[in-house]
Amino acid sequence: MTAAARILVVDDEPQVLRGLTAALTAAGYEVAGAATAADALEAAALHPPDVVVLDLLLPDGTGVEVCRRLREWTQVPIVVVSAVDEETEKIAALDAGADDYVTKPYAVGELLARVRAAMRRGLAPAGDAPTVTFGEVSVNLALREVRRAGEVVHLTPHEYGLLAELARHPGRVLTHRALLVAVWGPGYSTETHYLRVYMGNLRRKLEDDPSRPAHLITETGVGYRLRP
Amino acid sequence: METLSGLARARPAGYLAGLAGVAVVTGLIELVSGQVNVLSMAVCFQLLVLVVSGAYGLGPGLATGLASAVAFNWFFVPPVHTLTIADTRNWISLAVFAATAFITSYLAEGFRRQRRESEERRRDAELLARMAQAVLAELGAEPSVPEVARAAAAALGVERCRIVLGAADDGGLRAPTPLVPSAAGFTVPLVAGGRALGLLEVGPALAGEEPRWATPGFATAVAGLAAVAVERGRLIAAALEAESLRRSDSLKTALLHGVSHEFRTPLTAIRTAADALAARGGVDEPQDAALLAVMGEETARLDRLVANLLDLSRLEAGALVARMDWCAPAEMVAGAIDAAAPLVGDVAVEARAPSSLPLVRADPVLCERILVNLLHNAARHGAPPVVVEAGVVGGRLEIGVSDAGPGLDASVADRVFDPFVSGGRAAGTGVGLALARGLAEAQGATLSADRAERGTRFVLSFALAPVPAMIEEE
Repeated sequence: MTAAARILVVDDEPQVLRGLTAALTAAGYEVAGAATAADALEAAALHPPDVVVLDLLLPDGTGVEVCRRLREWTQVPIVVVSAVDEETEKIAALDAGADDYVTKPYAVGELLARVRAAMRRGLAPAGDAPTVTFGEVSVNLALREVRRAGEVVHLTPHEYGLLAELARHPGRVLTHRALLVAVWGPGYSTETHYLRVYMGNLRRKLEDDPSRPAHLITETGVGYRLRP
Repeated sequence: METLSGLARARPAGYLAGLAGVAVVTGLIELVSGQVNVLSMAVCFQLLVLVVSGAYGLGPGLATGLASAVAFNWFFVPPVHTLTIADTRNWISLAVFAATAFITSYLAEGFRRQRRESEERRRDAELLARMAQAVLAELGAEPSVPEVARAAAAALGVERCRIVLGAADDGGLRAPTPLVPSAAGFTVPLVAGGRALGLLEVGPALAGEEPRWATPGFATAVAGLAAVAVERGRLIAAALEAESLRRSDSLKTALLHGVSHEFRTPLTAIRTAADALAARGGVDEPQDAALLAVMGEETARLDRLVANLLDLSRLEAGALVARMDWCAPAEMVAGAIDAAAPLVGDVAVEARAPSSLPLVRADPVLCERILVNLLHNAARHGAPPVVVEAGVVGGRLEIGVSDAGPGLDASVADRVFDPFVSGGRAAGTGVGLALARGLAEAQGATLSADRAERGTRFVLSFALAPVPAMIEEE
């Protein structure tokens, strides 16, 4: 890395902002801080960051609105930070374009891992590789073919659709709503039981230990993620 | 209704007054007999009958009528000073006179009775109103049972009343006796809102007082009022108790919430700083690294405790609402084990949850927190192997978290879900289990603890519901 990657941290608590700035600086990043939604949007426009770490509870508007406004002009990776009981906000932020989330209380190490992963994805935009692999499984999006340890695995059309949607965004959290709309259509946006059953089928066919999935990860209350 | 003693007192006076009246009227007619037609003066006797029967009743009225007829005949009807009547017309006059006297007496008596009855009713109403004032009017202050009994005794005009509370079938109460006046008194059942409260024992009448319970329904009305007052006292006492409980509860919740919230931010900042220091790797001495690790771990623990307290306060304030969704048990178990990984350390956790299990209606986020709390508890207080298994038992889906530790102490087994009760082994369980049970109940599930032969097993149990049909493919 020639120059230090730049992180914009948005949090309305000065102590938390100070601590995070110190932690991220110590990890080798260049850090800019913002305490309000307006400051955050201005700072992002002035010096475009490589990653945004965004607290969802801001005094002058919600973090969700910041996500939406940022997505109007930039694809910068956004990692949102939220409390444990803010699932609705979290989902709204992801649907508004956030890439990942961490739930308070979190360890700094966890946040750093999310930031690094989000930056990697930001460098390699989704959808440009015809084949996505995880574990022993390879998904050829061009041929619509799934192999496990070299053997072709038979999937139903919706099973394949669900897997392909996750494979197109490796590492990213996809909300229930986003997956249901993409695979079954807009009329199914709240029919979560489809997802539960089809994810169970996919895990049975693709995971080594379906009861402890290593790649088809549940993001409880939010959605699913393919962990490569 | 006239009482016997009333009759005895009223009658001689009435008869004497009637006779005196007849003498006076006769004398007056005699005085004016020179100027007027004496026969037309019979109307004066009619007036007398009206007055006497109005004042003293039917008997004295009739007696006055009879005496008047005799006196009139003797003194004024020719031939005077005999009881014989020469003229047939005078016979008719006398007959009309007698009939008029009779009817007048009768009507006056009726009027008199009505007036007395309405007076009694007015007095009863007044007594009841006074009693109601005494036992019901004071808002907020409940009348004690003896106070109600005293008010009932005053209203009934008896020496004393006693209220015996209790269910009618508990054997401690005598059956109500009929409402018959007696020296020993009688009992009336106390009924409020169709529920028997007990009995009102009415003592003997006060000396020199007319016993008022003789009026039909009056004793029953007093008993009804007493029952309402007693019942109201109970309700007020219950409401006051509930209110004070509610106040102390909401105060506790507010305190819990405020403290937790205020603790949160500095804790997060300390934890971030400790983490940052450790992540930088800038400490050279191994002791410093160990100290940093302690700081990080203990702050994290405090952070979790505060988060749990905050959730508990939200739960108690009703601010935590379950968001129900269809959940796959296998996913719930796997997700919880992943989420609990940083808390259980190197304790191995085994998952037994086949993906063939039916979906359940639950809040996936709350369920994960329950299971994480149970896993944390098992890792801290139990012993490996820690097993999470899901299965259908008797029409319910159960997720059990068990360990092979020493098990729950018998003395705390019932209170293990109370906040800050220790399982009798290591440090207290804090609020983890209390929160877990609250979160289970918030989504209509149950959480219970089984004391197994070895170790402890917590069971999260959901009612199964039919899963909506899905479109088939292929």
